[in-house]
Amino acid sequence: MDFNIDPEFIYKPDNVNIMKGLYVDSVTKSFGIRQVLTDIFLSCNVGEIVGLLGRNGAGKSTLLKIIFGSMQADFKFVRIGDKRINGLYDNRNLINYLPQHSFLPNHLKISQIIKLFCDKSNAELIAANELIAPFIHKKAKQLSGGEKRLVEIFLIIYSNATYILIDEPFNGIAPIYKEQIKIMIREQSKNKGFIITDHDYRNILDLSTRIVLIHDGGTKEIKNKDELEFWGYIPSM
Amino acid sequence: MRIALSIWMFYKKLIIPTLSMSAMTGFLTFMNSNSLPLAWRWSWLSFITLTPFFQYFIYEVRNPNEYYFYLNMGISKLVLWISTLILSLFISLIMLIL
Repeated sequence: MDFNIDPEFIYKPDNVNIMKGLYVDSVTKSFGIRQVLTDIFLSCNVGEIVGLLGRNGAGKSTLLKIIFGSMQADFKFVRIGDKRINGLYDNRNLINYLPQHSFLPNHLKISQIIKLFCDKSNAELIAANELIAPFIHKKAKQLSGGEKRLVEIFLIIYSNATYILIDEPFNGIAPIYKEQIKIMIREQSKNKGFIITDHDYRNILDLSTRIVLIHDGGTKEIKNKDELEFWGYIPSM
Repeated sequence: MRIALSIWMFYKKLIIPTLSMSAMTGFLTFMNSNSLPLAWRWSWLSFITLTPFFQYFIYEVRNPNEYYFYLNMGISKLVLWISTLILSLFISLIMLIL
């Protein structure tokens, strides 16, 4: 392994809670005649940060939406522990999902949004954070794209769900904040499992405890950078 | 409580545009009939029918991603649609009874 992986989080039984693991298997999805996902297997346990990589149009966002339950698959099997997750009704407090584009209700103030979305202790924690405090009394529509993204990341990371799916967390975020976000995700991964996808693959490699690549509709476990080159995700050096 | 409040916040966004159109309907009815009770009745009847229209336009067409905020809280689209219909019906009935 030549990724910068914190050894604290790698496949250690005392850190990784396998009993309540998230298992995703046999996912297939077509758009018209184009089959995007054909052979998907993905797992994530509490304590893990799984980096999901793939070229544009590979089906990363589609897969996250299918796991969350907001998109129908042609076929899927999703399970957390012993509980089968068939759709949104089954995943409350189990899976949360940050989509690629902003989901903040534009007509509400950030302070209202935080109070609605998080429980009291986490809401206080977010409101007191130095990155969020400057625009706590502003409405979501008054924030820039990057500021909205920052608020959303805080909301999703500090939500009550056991598994967090994040689509492009670093998009539009200033480099200085990216490091703080990575620290927060690592900290929260002690009690949660994360599946993260982003085109900024260096940050994903730096953050993840495990890397999975979507290639030709299927998933490949990636052990090192050479494999990313081999599968044509990054150019050969 | 957080769920109920979230549903209300979702609905809140629909109130101003729907009320404006309902008031317009009431005004046009009054202009045609010169009857204030009839205008009042028509404006609240139109309120019931216009809220689903505005939910479709504001959330489904213009801001479909905002649904994810509510989906993450365990509130499905179906619940939001039903809540809109029930709240509109409730508000309209109260206003018609008054």
